[in-house]
Amino acid sequence: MNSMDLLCASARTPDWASVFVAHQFSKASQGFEHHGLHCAIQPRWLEFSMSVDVFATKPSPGSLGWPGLWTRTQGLNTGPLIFDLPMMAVTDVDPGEWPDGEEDASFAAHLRWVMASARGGLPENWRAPSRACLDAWIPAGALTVQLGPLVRQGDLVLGDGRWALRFPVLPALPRTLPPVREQALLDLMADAGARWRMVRLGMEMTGEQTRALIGEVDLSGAPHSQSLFLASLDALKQVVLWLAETADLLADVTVTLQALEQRRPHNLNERTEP
Amino acid sequence: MKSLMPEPTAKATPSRGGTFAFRARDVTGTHDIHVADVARGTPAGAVAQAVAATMNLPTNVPWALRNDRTGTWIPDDAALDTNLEEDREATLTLTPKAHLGAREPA
Repeated sequence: MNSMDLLCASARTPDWASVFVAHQFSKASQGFEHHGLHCAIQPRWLEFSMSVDVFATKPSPGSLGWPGLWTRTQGLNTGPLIFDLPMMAVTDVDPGEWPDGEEDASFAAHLRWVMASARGGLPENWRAPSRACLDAWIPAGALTVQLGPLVRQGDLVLGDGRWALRFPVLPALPRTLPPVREQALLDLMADAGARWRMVRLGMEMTGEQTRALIGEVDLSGAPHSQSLFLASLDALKQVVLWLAETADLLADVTVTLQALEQRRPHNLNERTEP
Repeated sequence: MKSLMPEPTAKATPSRGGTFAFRARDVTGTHDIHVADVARGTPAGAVAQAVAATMNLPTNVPWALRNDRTGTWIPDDAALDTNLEEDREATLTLTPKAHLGAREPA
């Protein structure tokens, strides 16, 4: 075990089994299961997963604005939905933070968040934290990412039933790009989804002819955990730093990318000249 | 489309909504660029560093932005758009922070 694993092991660990059973989960081969919602307990993560067919609703689960940390790891519209909950969010909590005072209320509250968000909803009586509380948590300048000539300003979304962090990876995209560029961007987004936990990516219209590529961590329904919030902010900024330059280059049609231009777009209806 | 892109031939117009635009130049006048699609609320310090990078100026130097119309320096941690006029596109000068031994302001 490395030093991080030892740290996690020494932190307060909830009694997983009793909390899961109390919420109608049953023991499964690699964790716990409840009506198609699976949980695998890993050293640093609690990985919840479900098939999109289990809770098939509109809009698509895991899309921008969907409550909770649900993301897709095998392409933007395929594969299972994954909810990665960092272990430290449920092991590094002061029980006094929770109104009901239960010893494992921290994990139970997180589990209720997972279950409610899987159906596109929120835990009963949940409310977003106050702006003042979050301002005290956010370090100065933490909502700004500057990477060479690129600067991205994040946004804290707070509203009735909504709590999220969003960053524009590409703040201004034309409505349409050449097919090979569009496909390359979609492939980049899918790759990011497979590599990074907690963060989801999506395109959003910002005007009649413009759209933006947005990175988002949705905490709607989450317990008011400072460690979870800061981990979410850090994860989102890492994704923006990792993606911004490449995405910016792919979207810049004034720059010729010979290798890209020679690539045939797949799954697109495109007629080629003989 | 880049958030910051040199477009010397573009006609400068203020941007409304979630982003804004301005013209930026260095103290020598060598670089004069149109900066577009900057998110409102972005701190002036981060924008200054990004503009310096766009102009291929040294990035290990602290840069600051000055409003040419008012002559005022824009603080690093202030949102840049709130320090600019809404009715016209601002022109800002990028300047290195060189105190030349002077005492730091309180």
